Amino acid sequence: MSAVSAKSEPIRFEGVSKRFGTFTALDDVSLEIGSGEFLTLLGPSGSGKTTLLMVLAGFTRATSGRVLVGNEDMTRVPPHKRDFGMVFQNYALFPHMDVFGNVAYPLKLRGVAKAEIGTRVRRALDLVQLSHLADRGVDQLSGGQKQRIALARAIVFEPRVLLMDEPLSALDKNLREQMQIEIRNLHETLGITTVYVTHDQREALTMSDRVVVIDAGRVVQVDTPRAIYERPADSFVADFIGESTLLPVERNGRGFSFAGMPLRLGEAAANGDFLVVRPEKLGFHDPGTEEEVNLFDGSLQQVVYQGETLLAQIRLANGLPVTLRLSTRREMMARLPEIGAPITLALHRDDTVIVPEHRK
Amino acid sequence: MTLALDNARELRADERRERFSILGLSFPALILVTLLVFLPVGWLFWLSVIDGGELSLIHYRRLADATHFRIFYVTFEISILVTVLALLLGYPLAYLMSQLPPRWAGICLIFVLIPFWTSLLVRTYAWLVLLQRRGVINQTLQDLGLIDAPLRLVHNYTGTVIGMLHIMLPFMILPLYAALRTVDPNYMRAASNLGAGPVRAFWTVFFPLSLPGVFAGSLLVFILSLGFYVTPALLGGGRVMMVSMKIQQNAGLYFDWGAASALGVVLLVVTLFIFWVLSRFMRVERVFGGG
Repeated sequence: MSAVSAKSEPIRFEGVSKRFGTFTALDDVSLEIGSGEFLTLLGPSGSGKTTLLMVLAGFTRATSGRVLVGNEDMTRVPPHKRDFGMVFQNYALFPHMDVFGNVAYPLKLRGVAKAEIGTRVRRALDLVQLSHLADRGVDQLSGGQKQRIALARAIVFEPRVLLMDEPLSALDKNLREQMQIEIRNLHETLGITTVYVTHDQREALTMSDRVVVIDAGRVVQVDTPRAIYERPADSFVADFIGESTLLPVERNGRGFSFAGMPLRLGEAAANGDFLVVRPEKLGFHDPGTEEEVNLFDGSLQQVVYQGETLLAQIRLANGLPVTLRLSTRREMMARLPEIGAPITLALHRDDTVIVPEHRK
Repeated sequence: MTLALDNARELRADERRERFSILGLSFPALILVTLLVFLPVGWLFWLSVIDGGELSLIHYRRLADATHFRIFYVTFEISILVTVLALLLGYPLAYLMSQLPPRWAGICLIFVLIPFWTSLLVRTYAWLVLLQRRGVINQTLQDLGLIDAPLRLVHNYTGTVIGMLHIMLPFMILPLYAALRTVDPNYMRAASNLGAGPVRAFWTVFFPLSLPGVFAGSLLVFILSLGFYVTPALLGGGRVMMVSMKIQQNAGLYFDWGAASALGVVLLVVTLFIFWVLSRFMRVERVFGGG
C-alpha cells in the first residue's frame, strides 16, 4: 500500500425519490458519476442537494429508487458499512479526542494494528500538512485546520468515495479560495470519486469536473463548469449561475428576434424564450464587426465602481435594463459616455444564448 | 488635545457609574443570601462548638463512635445506590427524549415533571400503600403465583431506596436531558460514517460527550440524597437511620441542639468536600473538550 491511496468507483442513482410527508425533496433523480470524478451538487437552499448526499451517505432512506457504488447496490446498506468518507459542514470533529484520536478513529474501528495506525495517521496528516498538530485538542484548532483534519479523517481509511457537505461554508473568503485549490489538488492526488455539495456557484465552477444543478428536487442540468456557465439549459440555470439579465425574445421563423431586431446566433442550437445577457459578455460597439455581433441601443443610467471592475446600468431603447461589466483599465473606462448619454452595446453571436423558461 | 482628555475622563466616570449600578442591582440578592444562608450556617456552626455556655468540641468527640459511623456509612451507601440507580434508569429516558422530535420530547417531559410537581409527602405515602404487605404489588405477585408469601418491601432498606429513587429521578433526568440535547447529531453521523455501528458509536462518541450531564445529574441527586429526610423516615420505618433522621432525633426528641448542629456541620463539610473534588474533575473534563 503506497501513500494514502484510494479506490475510485463509479456511483449511480437510479430514480431516487424522497418525500417527507407531502413535501417532495427529491423527485426521480437519476445520475451517473464516473469513477474518480469530482462532481458537485449545486442548488439553492432547500433544493434537495443535501438530501441527495444524505441518501448517498445512508443517513436518509430514499422513498424509492436505488443507489449503486461500483456494481454494488448500496440502497439498504447502513451508513457504517458503506465505507464512505465524509466531511461535514461543521466538521463534526470529536471534541473529546485530540487530532490524532480523531484521525485514528476509523482505523481503530477497522481493527488496524496499532503501529500501522500510527503510520497511516501520520501519512494522512502529512497530506493535509498538519502532522505537527497531532497532539492538539480539537478546540485549539482554527477553522481552516479543523477543515483539514476533517478531510484527513475522511480519507485515512481509504474510503470508496468521498462526500463533502458544504465543507468550506464556515471559512472566510480568502481561506475558502485557498482550500478550494487544496481540495482540488488532493482529489487529483488521490483520484477518489468525490461528491461535493455547495450553494456557492463560484466554488462549484472552480472545483468540479462536472456540476449538477438541482432545483426543487430535480436535476436541471449536468455539465462541465464551462458548459453550465456558457450554455445554461434553461432560465433557472442562467439566473442561478453567475449574473445575468433575461430578456424576452420572439420566435421569428427559424430564428429569434429581440425588440423587433433579428438576432445573429452562433453555431450552438438555440431554442427558447429568453436571451441570456451576462454583464461581462457585453462590450462597446466597434465599427466593422457588425457581422459578428448583435447590437443594442440604450442610455447609460448609473455607474458603480467595484475595484477591479465597474458595473454600468443601461436602459435599452425598449425600456428594459441590462448591466455591463467593464474592466477598470484606463482605455475601457475612457470609452464610457456620460450618465444619460446614448450608448450602443455589442454581444458576440457566439455569446448570444437563448434559453427556455424553467419548468417548475 | 485638551478636549479629548476631558472627554476620556467623563467616559471613565460613566463606566464607573455603570459598574456601581450593576452592584446596586445585585445588592438585594446579596442581602438575602447573607440572611438566609451565611447567618444560619454560621449560627449552626456556633451551636455545635458550644456546650453549657463554653467553647467545647464535645459534640464532635461524641460523633466518633460506631453508632455514628454506621449512620454516616448507611447515609452514603444509600445515596450512592440511589444515584447509580437513578442514572441507570434516567439515562435511557433522557437519551430517548433527546432523540425524539421536540413535540414528543415535550410530552415525555410532562410525564417527568408531573410527579416532580406533586407533593413529596403524597408520593411517599403512595409508595407506602403500594409496597405494604397487602399492597398492590404484593397482591399482584401473589395472584400471579410468583411468590407464596408477601415480600418485605417497605419499612426497611428496600423501601427507602425505592421511594428515594422515585423522588430523585427528575433531578437526574432534567440535567441529563439538557446535556444530551446539546450533543450535535452530526457527531453520531460522523461516527457512523467512519464505520461505527450504533452501539459502538454510542459508547465511543455519544456517551463521552454526555459526561458533563452525567456528572451534573449525579452530583445533584447524590447531594440531595445525603440530606434527605421525609421519604427515608417514612419508608424506612425506623430501621434505616440516616444522618438527617439522627439530626431530627437529637433536636426534636432530646433537644440536644449541640449534637444536632455538629452532625449538620459534618454533613455539610463532607458534602462540600465531595462537591469540590467532583467539580475539579468536571473542570478537567471540560479542558479536554467535554463541554
